[in-house]
Amino acid sequence: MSSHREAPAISKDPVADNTDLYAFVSTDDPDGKTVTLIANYIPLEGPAGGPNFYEFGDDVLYEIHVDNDGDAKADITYQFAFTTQVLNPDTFLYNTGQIADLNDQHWNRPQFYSVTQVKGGGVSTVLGDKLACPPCNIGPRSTPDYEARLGSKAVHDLGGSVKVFAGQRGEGFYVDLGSIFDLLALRPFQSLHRFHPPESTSGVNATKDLNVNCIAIQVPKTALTRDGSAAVDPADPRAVIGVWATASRQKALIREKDGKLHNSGPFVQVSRLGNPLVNEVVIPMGTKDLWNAQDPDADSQFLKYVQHPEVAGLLPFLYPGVFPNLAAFDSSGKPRADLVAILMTGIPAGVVPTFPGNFTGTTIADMLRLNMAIKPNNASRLGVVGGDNSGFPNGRRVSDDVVTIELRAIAGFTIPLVDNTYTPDPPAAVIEDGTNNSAIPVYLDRFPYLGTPSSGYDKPAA
Amino acid sequence: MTVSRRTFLSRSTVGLATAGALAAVPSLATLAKLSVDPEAAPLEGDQLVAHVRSVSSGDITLLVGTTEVVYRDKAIAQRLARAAARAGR
Repeated sequence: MSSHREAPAISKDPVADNTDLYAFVSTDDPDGKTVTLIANYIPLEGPAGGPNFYEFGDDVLYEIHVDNDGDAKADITYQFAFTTQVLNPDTFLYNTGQIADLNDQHWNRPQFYSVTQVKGGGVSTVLGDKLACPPCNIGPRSTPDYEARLGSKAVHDLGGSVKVFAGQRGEGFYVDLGSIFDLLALRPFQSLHRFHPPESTSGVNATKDLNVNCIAIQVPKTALTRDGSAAVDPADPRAVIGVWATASRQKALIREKDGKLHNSGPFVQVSRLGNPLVNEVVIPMGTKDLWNAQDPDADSQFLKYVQHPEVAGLLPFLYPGVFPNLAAFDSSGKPRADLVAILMTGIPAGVVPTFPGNFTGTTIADMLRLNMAIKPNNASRLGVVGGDNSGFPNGRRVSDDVVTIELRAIAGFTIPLVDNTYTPDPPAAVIEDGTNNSAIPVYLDRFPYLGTPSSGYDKPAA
Repeated sequence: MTVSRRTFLSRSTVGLATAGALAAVPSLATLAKLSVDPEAAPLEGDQLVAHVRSVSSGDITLLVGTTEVVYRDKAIAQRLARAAARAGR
């Protein structure tokens, strides 16, 4: 998955588990003056998962970080801290009646949050406090007319062109998990697989109808650039930012005999996400928990895994005779400079002829890099490799097909960008897992862009 | 209470400096006195967590609220280790 359950330790702590990160010039902003940052947590929420439905952790510090000068250190951090109220402790019910609005007393566990901006040097500014989350989408009796009464009402305008939302949303990421984790099978090409090759079929979206907990913030570009400039020139290095999200827990937890918990000490990072799928399929098992605890400016220690990705070695073995050029390249021991550029430094100008680039410098760091001066369009779910420079790996939109993009890159499609002597194997231009965003009916054309969560009554369907 | 990493780091720096100053303090009684000193940083509630990172070096990490202080005192660490050993019998 993008980063759902991607490491041993965090897979046991879903409330703190980063699942996806998005950063893009707001697609509904006609002037293109704002950027939207979205960090999702809590993987694979089954909509019917009551009676204790999903909520953010009051004991977790959620953060979205922005580097605007290329050193992979946070220059701006948005912190989100949550507080849950229990209105009636003498019932087991999540809601004691219909939840008609965000203030409805029938919602037994309302959750609120604060948003704090921390700028380099440690200057903190509370942007908003006591902001209401929406409840989970229970069903038509408990949460009728969900989006109009609850979801949309939980978008808070904080002034200064800043909007925030925190709460449940429909999962926007799509992937054929069941097939990919069955020895990297891609159903559209599985007849070519070394083991158990049945007829090829279309993909199965394993995240279909599931939900996720989403933190979204929309801010002016001028709040993100290093000098307050407007980010209008794609060739201007000041227009490029690097983004990552984290979750942190306090260092010590004492469990009392009466069931109470006591947290002590500074917050320690337990989850991190920049580019999709890096910790998931690039970083090896024994290093994943370390990776989650590190900051991006320490990522040079993981560079070898990007330069020599395990999947690039597996594809020629699992699909015999399909990727001979990739096998030869992999055997040569040459580092994958294309993947290093895409994931760890940004792509310099001129590497992709029509792309102005999103290079942040030579510091090796897994950050989602966004050239904010590139205007949004929605020409291709394949982003830059599909000729659409406003999509991944220039930032990431909620509908981008990051699985296909990264599959093709790892399969060698992007090697010629840095090595003109290499000829990709023809399948590298077409491989995919067979899922696509047309099967996701839940995107919104407005903030927070991820759509109405599936209701527990309706999904899974009878 | 939200604490930024940079704020935390600056607090940690202060904490480490404090730990250096306290390293000469030899006794548990003195530490207890420091803990209730009204001039010291107030505790959140009536408890703190002490993590003896190394009995041999005497490194003790005190976790209070959202901060930590590294404190070095071999005598205290060894007394706690002896108490732990007795409890384990």
